[in-house]
Amino acid sequence: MTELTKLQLCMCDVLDCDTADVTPSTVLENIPGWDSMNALRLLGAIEAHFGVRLDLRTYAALETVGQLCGMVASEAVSCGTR
Amino acid sequence: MIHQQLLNAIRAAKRGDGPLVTRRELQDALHPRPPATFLEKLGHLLHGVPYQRVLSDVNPQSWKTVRVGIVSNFNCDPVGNILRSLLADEEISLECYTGDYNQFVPQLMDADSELYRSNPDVVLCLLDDHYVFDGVTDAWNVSRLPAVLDERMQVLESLIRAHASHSRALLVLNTIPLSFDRYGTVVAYRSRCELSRLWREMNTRLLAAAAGNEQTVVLDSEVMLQKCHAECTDARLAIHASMNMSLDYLLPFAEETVNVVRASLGKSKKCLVLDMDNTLWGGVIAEDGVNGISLGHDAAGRAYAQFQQTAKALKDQGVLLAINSKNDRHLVAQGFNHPHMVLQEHDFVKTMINWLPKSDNLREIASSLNIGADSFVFFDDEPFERELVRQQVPEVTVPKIPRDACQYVSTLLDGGWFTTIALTKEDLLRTASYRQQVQRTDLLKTAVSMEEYLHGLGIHIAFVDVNEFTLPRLTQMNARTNQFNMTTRRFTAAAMQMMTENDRFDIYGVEANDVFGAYGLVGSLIVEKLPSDSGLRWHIRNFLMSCRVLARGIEIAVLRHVLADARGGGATEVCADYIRTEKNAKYEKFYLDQGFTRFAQDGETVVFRNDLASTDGAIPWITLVQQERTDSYDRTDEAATLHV
Repeated sequence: MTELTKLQLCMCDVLDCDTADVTPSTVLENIPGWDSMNALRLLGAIEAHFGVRLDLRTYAALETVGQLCGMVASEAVSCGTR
Repeated sequence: MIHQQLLNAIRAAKRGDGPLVTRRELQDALHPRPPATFLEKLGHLLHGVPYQRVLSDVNPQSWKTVRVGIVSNFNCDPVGNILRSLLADEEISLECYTGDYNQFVPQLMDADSELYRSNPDVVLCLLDDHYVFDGVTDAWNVSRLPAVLDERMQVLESLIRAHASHSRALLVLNTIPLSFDRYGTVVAYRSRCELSRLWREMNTRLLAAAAGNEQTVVLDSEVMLQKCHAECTDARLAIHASMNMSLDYLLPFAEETVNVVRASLGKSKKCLVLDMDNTLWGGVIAEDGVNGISLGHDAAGRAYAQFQQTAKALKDQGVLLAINSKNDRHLVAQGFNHPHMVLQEHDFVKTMINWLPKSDNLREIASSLNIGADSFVFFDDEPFERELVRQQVPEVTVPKIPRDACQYVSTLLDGGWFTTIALTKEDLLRTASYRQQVQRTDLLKTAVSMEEYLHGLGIHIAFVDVNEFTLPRLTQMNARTNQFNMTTRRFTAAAMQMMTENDRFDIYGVEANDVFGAYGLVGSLIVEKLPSDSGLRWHIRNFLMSCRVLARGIEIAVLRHVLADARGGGATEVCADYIRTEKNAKYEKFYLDQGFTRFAQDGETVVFRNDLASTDGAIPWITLVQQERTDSYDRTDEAATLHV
């Protein structure tokens, strides 16, 4: 399973959406159900799932699913969890 | 895994392409207590969804709805969702208003605020130390603090008063926790001591303000913290989202709020049913003999003795205890004589000691005490027995019991099943009065006819003065009574108080006794006096009687007395409301049987009417003891304990 797929499943779990709703080019704010509480829930789920710790300011500035995936992947490398 | 499965099942049920979730599946996911993140997520999923859409065994008659308003100085958005999950497990549906960030002052102060317009039953106001320290630039300087704390407390005291005058809801506050960061910023230990002292004084003042106001309850944050097994604050969430308390710290507050809600809806559990072997003592008395059981004299024995002490403490505060044990009576009698046995035979209202299925015994206990099995908690160390009861009598609360008896006390108390808002005289006498009930049942068995039995009881009733001693007991009875309760309208202490001060309302309270003893307060009736087409109408807004005294004619005698008072007070008609529930359904013809006719229907409320044309006589076996009824709320002696 690729990092992207794992992330998509994690997002679908938190946001109650389908994989088709979270392609790499999808803008985060446009995902149905995206709000500040869900953004925080997703952050917690990603950190628990991938064993990483994300900087909140950087996370809040992300625009697309693809960028989120990139951030998670690089954190995973530097944490040595990959 | 089981948690993820539940979330997926709920999602599927919502979409309509999965089976409904059973009550059992929900219970198994919520006990033992799952992480707060799961509860928050579950509550979020359940938001705005009618429970029949996702749960399979929803009986609309037993589900209640509660409205909770949540305000705070910080962002506690997740609390509503946590509450929703926990309440769903109790068959309580939540309507929740959550105030905007740091709006607790205007929401509580302003009579027309969004909070009050949401018409809450319970208001939860959570505060953290940012309320104290925001804007205080040199907070390390402890000598500055007394003035600050005084001002902050004055604000809270005004908010408590404002709430009491704007709303009948219960207000739940918390003692303000002192965060380590604030404490740690003060470097000198002597100054830290002074900080701690001033902080406790502040919280003491908050607790005193609550003591002076019956609508207010304060949760002890230090005690709540003991249930928080992770960090109390996530600094990133606090700084970026103003979520100053972590989900894990919010959880015990949410659980306590659930207990408060349960108590205010009259859904507190009433009876603790106990096994004996390996529950009240270590070992099996039939195998180990009374000298071989473990009770009080070694470490394990101390665990069982402490458990008995706790059960006894609950009993002394109004919880009924019963035994459900597979044993022989003569061995159990020996057990009661064990030197370290805390609980004695007279502490129990019913003992089922036999070899019959424990599920059958539970039904027998319920029917003999005349209370629903849904108000039982069954504590048994045997997984087989617990599973049998869960399947056969699913309305009974059956906690999972840990293998180590050292954890029995916390298991018993963690659920908060027996919590109530305020203790009353009825609570303190409950076991004794239920035991008297058993004596009455025995008389019934020996009497030749019903009439002989009823005359043999020698029933006396009296109408009590409504004052500061009787009003709390009337309020509690109104909150707890479910069977002979014509409308199941629950009135808070504040609402009852308002009615005593308003000439438009009359509250009747009835005490009764017989040759076996006093029943205490057994019933109440609330009348609203209104002009009507025919002149003056007395409208019975609620009429309730304790199930202990039904089928003796007391309720008929009370109603006839009120009809006579109505005639004497110039009324031209008496109307009475009836709202059918699963528990009061068998009394739906009561008013018809007493000479009323169906008059109107207003939604779920049926209104009956009596034109006062005929007068029915007194009930021959009931004696009314005349007392001077004063409607003034003055300091008279507590309504007479009738002497026989």
